[in-house]
Amino acid sequence: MLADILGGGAGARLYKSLVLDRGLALSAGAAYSAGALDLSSFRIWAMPKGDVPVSDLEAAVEAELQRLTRDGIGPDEVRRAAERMQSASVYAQDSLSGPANIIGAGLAIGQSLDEIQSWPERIGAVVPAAIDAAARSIFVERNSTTAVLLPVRGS
Amino acid sequence: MRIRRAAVLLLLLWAPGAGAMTIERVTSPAGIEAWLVEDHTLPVVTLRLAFTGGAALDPTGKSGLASLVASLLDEGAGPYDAAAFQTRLEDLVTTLQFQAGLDDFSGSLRTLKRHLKEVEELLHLALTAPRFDLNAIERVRSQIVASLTQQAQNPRPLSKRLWMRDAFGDHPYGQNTEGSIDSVRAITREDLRGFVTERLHRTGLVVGAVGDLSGAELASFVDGVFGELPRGTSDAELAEARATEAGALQIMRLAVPQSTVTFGQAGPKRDDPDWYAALLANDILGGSGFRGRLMKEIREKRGLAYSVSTALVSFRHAGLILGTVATENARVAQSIALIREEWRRMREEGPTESELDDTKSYLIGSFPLSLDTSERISALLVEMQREALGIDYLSRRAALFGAVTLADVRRVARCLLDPDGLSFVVVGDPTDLAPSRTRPASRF
Repeated sequence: MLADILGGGAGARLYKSLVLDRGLALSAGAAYSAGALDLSSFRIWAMPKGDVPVSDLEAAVEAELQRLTRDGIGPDEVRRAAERMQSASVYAQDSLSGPANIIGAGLAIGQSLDEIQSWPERIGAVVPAAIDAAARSIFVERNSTTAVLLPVRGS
Repeated sequence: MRIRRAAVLLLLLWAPGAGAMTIERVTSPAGIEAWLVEDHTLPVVTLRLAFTGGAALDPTGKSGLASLVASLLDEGAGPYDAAAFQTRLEDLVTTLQFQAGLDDFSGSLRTLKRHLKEVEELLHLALTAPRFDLNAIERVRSQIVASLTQQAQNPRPLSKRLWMRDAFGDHPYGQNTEGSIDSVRAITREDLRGFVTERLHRTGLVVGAVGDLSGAELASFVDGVFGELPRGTSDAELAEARATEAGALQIMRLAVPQSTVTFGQAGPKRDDPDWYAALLANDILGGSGFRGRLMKEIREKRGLAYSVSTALVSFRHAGLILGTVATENARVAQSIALIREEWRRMREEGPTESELDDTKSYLIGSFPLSLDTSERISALLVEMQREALGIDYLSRRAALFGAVTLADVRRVARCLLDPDGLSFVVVGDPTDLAPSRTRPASRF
């Protein structure tokens, strides 16, 4: 839910701030892979617009992370994220391979069928304080790595 | 639940002569036709729409116009600016996307039944009152310019674009759908508005819907969305086009370790009486996966590439057989020689009886598996209308393949496949190849 609120789409915090409000980026988002046995990775990305320096972009991402860990996430934001994610689980059933993948991937990391099927209810039960705690535990600078891909010189 | 429904659907499609899923023709009070597959398994509605006339009608010097409009219709409309419109879509858990093809301008929508009324209003606003706010135009323009800049370094789209440009020359089919950096920069707000007034009209509009709604609900939805659109007239028709068959081999040098090759020549259009025979010939020659002869020769026997395939591409005014392969720079010539040789062998000998039987059963049997989501079914509903296949097409499809004889495929292969007229565009740094013409690095 943290990834969805921070960077799940064009209505999420990073896109709104970096792309729409400040015009620093062409795209921005975040993702978290929940389907892992061990620690997973929480990824954040952005592509600068025109000549915007990468350092400005990094600073803008940093500011959003600080705002999030400092001010927390409001109950309304959490409620809307829960509804989006629960609806996504409805859409996921509109496919032959989708449910098979979800169930197979869940079983492969030791989840029970009950756990897989009750995912929407458990998403609905997440409280803002739990997301705030997740943010504080994930967004720790010494745990982070940044990669910058630059164009080939002269192209 | 859904799985069981889909399984039943597959059985119905597989059963010889059985009616497939039920497609209903809905005509709204305002006279707009839409095709519907009603299915209440999930509280989901999927809808696809297509206007006739796409990027090939972009004005000279403004190529990319239809594509830019497509990217901007969901960036603010009516009372909602871009951020508000996107937030509204997110809160309604709705995906709404528009896309410009060469021949049509299409939209796709997925929402929950309970939000259908609100989504109707949003789609209506997007089509009739897009804002085209200057900051949104500039932002999306920058996104497209960045994407074009990236594509100019990406061998696969680059080779296909160069191939199309060379095959069609000055015909609009030679233009890139997304335009060029210069043409996209030349597009004004007035151009965008003009596109919406002139091109988004009811003549030629096609709609397909799948999911949790009745015919009456669909009728009310389409009237709410499209009812106010002008009736319009048919768009200007383009001239018929035929890909040149110069048999040229062109190289665009790009410093990458492997070359990407696009190859092809003129082919049948979708309404050609030999379409099904040509589909079979194509699949036997260049079917994807491990079916085609090209794959056997180039990958299985020699390990030259991970994949090589061909496909029939049908535009409104031209048809193509178009293929692609990527291989290491030192072995491009070998791959090309093998492709020409297989082209020649299929032309001269045709397929064997067993190749034809296997391919028929594959193309008949794999089809229902490709219809495993509402989005694919709604896309099929649009294609069936666009190509005038008839509302009973699904029940006839297997027989259309079944009726093709070995003699048909041999005859079609002889006129379709011309190894000397086959044109290749290579993007990469091939070391074993001399071009008939080398293209200077061009800026898109």
